[in-house]
Amino acid sequence: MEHTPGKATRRILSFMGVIWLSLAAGSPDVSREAAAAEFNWKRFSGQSIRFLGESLPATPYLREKVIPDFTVKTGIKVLYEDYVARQLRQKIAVEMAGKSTNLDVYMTLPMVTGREYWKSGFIEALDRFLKDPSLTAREFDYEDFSPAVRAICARYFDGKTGCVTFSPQTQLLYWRKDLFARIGLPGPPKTLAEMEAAAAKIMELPEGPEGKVYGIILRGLGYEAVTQLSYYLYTHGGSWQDEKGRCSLTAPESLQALDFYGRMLRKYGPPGAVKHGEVEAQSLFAQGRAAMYSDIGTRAAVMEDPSRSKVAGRVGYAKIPLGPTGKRQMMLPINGLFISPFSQQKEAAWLFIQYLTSKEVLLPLHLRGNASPRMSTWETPEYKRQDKHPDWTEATLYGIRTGLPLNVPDVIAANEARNIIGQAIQASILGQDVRRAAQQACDEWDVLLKKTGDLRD
Amino acid sequence: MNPPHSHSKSGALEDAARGEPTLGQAAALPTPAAWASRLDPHLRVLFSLPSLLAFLVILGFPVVYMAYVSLHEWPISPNLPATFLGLGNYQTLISSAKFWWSLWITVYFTALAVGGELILGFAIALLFHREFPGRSLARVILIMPMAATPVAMSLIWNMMMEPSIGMLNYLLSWVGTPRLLWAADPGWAVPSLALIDLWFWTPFVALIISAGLQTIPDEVVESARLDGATALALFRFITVPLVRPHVVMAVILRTIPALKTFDHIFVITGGGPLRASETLNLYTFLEGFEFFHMGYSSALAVALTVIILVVSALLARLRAREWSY
Repeated sequence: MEHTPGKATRRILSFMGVIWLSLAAGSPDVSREAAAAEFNWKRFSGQSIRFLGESLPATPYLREKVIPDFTVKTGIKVLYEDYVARQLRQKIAVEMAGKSTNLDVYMTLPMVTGREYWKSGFIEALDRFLKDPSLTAREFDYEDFSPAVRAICARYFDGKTGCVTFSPQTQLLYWRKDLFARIGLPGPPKTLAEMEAAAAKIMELPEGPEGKVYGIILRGLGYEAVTQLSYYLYTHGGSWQDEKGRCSLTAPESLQALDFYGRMLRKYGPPGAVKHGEVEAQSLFAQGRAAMYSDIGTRAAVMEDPSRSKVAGRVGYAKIPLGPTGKRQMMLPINGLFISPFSQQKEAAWLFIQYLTSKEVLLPLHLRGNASPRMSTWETPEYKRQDKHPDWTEATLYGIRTGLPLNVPDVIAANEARNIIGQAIQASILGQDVRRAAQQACDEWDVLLKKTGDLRD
Repeated sequence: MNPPHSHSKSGALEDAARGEPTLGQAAALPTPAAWASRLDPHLRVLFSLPSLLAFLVILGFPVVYMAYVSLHEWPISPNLPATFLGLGNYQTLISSAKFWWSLWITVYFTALAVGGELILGFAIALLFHREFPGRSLARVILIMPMAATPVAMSLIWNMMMEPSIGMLNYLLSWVGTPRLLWAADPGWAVPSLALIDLWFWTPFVALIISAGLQTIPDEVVESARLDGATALALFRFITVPLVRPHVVMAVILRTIPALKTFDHIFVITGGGPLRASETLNLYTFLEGFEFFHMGYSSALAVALTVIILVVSALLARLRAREWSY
């Protein structure tokens, strides 16, 4: 019992925090506070749950602050392990295959794994928790989540809610204000044609002290590049599949997009782009090696951190330029939180998800650069006060409001499809025949689509 | 093991050694080996049975289970039933261009890596066979790559091979040769990976061959010298034939691991770009743990196991021939 005084202090502090937050949220609604007081966070005190999460910029904060706070608030212990996306997928699948009762909550990308996991019975529907007032605090307010992200968590699970969004990761264009000034451009490109022209001009700049500066950086590592191609594919008028579900990468618009993506990297990108995944692309831009970079928007926190970036303060943010169709369909990948159907402590697991995605937790995470899926977070005075990059806010909010999860094809074997399509992207970057590469990918993919029953005849 | 001292024990043991009185006398303090040889041969089997069984279970069960899974369409989900396909997965495998491609890449990588390690290892062994100042220090430095963690070292190699900011291209620019894309170039991916394998394992080959060099008797070399052999002839007719068993040993010990190399290929190229470095082991991994085709992936693993077994058997034969001259 030697920890009692510390616990009590922390309890008081967290209680004060709750009051402070409810005041800060501008809702001194007496009945709501009463409901909050009624909700029993301690119901499952003494239980212990295990959480597998993706390694995100938010991971250290989760580990050091959010999870200890949760344990103080609920008495539930959390064992937290984090892995990079790929290892995480394998880890979850292997544990599920063994019906592990030891795994309670996990994080995954529903666009990639949702349909497969649902079909396999790896996902517990969350509707019964959401509807139960004894399990869901009133201030949780699920309606506060952007309709676009709620739609994603209901998209793959026969109309049920399979997940709660923790982190939406819409794409945007990062551009170097200083380099654009040097080539005489005042702002970011508005069209893909302007984007290519700007990249070409940047390539003509003399080599600076940081070495050669390239026009653009995009992911080129096959399956990792697929998610980034998606925006370019749709703004060219292309798509992953036709109305019958067959591969449509060989359609003229899709070929144009594939060619554009490959050409940008081949002509204006750093050498060896086919090996650049998410991490490599991000660090090259942070080292000042390129004038433009399009990727998920949550990397801004890295770019603006002088200890991790040489370009802090010199980056502008914008929506990715428009393609030939003049239409903008943003892609909205999300990281969702799921409950394992084999968990023995589903209620405690639900409390954990609820806490992780509460206004109280998402606000500080948002202030640290992890875009919040809750619309209210963007309106808080705390955020408005510290928002130094309204261009980032605008571009990101636009994606969170209107995005679709088509950054990967919406099929059961999405991950395998990614690997197949990634080959066509790499072929394009390497300057090989795009039509042939796309045809090859389609031949292979159509066989898979037929096998998994994703073709609609 | 202490020999038995107490009377009762030695008495019981003498009972077991009945019929050999002279030995019984001498065996007041018999060695354990002597006792074992006098035990009933069946009893010996019984004693080694537990470890034999444990070995069989640990080694045999995964292999048998893998073969069993390979006959099915095996979904990762425990809720979905497995479908028996018979040899269906093997048919798919034989007709799959990806399988034959990955097999070719495996052979290509192994030939480059083991061939390079042999040539370099031999050269280093010859160098270390001579006395020179700082030789023992150089030896210690030489074996350091073998002690390094493969994944961590692979990450470092990955950075060094980065085409725009990596150290290797920086060094090349000193020499004035054109910069390389290293593992990012489909044509260079396998040679780049073989180069890293060379870094890891050449010292190992050098150690084996240098042990071989030390077994060459000085008299043979001396007499050849007296007969007027040149250094080249000495190498060609004395050194090479005498260390050949060691060279064969090195080939065996390196070929088998090279065929199933995974760590640095996975870290550095992941099988790419395109499928330029997708070895059979990597292909198996992708099918199993990325796409969850457990049945097909098991069939691939069985194929890889069979290939490795056949290669090992061939090499073992070569070795048997080498050692029996």
